[in-house]
Amino acid sequence: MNAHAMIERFDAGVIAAQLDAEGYAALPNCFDPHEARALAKRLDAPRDAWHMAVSRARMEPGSGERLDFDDGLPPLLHAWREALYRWLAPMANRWQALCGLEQRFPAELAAFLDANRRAGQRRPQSHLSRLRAGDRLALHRHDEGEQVFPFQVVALLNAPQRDFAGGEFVMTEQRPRMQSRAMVVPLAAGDAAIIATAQRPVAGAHGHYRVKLKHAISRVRGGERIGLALLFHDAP
Amino acid sequence: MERDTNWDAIWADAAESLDRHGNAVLPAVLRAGQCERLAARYARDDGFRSRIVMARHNFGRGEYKYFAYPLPPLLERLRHALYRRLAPIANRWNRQMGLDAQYPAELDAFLARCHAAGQTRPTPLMLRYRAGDYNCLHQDRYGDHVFPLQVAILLSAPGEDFTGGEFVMTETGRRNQHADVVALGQGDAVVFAVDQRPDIAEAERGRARTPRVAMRHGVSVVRSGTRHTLGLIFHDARGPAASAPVSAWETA
Repeated sequence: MNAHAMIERFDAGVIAAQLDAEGYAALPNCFDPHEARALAKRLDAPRDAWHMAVSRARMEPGSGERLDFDDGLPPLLHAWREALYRWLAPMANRWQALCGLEQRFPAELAAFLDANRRAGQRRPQSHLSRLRAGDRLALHRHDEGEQVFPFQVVALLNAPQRDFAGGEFVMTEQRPRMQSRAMVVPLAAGDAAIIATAQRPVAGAHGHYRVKLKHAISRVRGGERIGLALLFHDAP
Repeated sequence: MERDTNWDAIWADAAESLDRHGNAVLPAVLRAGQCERLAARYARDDGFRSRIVMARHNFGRGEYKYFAYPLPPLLERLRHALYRRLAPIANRWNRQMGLDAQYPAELDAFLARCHAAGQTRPTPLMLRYRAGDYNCLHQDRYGDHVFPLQVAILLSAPGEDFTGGEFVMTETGRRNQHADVVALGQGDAVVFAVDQRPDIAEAERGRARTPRVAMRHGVSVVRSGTRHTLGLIFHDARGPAASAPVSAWETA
């Protein structure tokens, strides 16, 4: 779907409230079946030995396949990334303030990516993933470097139950002096979700405090699960 | 569990899944009617020894009640039958992890050991989650005598009685940390590691001693409806005479 039309379907206030409460916010029906299939098909394109080796090296055994967009994002995702960044930057700056952090993010993605390059962060992180039966993705976070945008986007490109079983998107939240909390982000085919990249502010009795987050994909029990991760900051 | 089911095959699969993932599903251990009758007991005061409101202890949101002895006959039978199947797995795990504790073949002998050590309070419990409730990732220990496997049975029907409320486990091994989600239907049981399991896959890579994986379990937010579960823990809890309250043993 056109990036601006997609964003206009959602109320920024509602999304911000969901992010504050849970650390994620669902964006239902972002990709129609045609768009989802077109993206997923990229996983089947022939890749040379070098790309295959890099893809394998980046993944732990049992973690499935990852396809980086080495030649840049396809136009649909490129437009999305710019529009979502513009939409999320004010929310990101609000979180920075609540977390007591001084860094603020510019209004436009281009300016943010300039800051990434100056910080030595030049490796794009957005990717497609395909997990088959037995594959899973360990709990992790993408927070290398000094430029870390507090949100990223994940999406599911095929259908739970129909195309695969298991493969839940799980987040864990580690709070000071408390037990961790696990969350399962409900995703149907074509749904996206905004998630906290690595940390978020939580309202406490004495102001806000910071909690650390990780995310994972649980074991795929059958079939194959095709997902998308869209990140705003680049890696060192 | 009286129906014509091939329990030997189910337990063989379960042992394999426990070794690989620290959890295993036993399908349809209770019938829908049994589940509903048990869940209906939750509202009553009799038959329970205490009620815990999770938010008060930072355990999450929602509540649970510990059954008092004597347990309802169905639970008593289930706890004994499950223990009998699990004790050989527990003994093998402890040997693989280099732990000394071995468990007797029958639950009564193991409980006698717990009771002699002052762990006298029954641990079977029922949990109730309503919309917005969740359970943090934790381990149920309750004292020095710990049986390394426990069981939870989903009493409500997912999609009908509630949405959300997934049973989630994390495992922390040498290399990294994973999250597992166990899909359960009404009446299904999940058997899982209380606090650790041997890392069989890692051992198969040729390590001399089998490393351990730390396990925790929890429940993600229930989005709507009410979710009841039955928890069967095989060790009993330290009594009030001992200094620590039960809750202090449930560490993150």
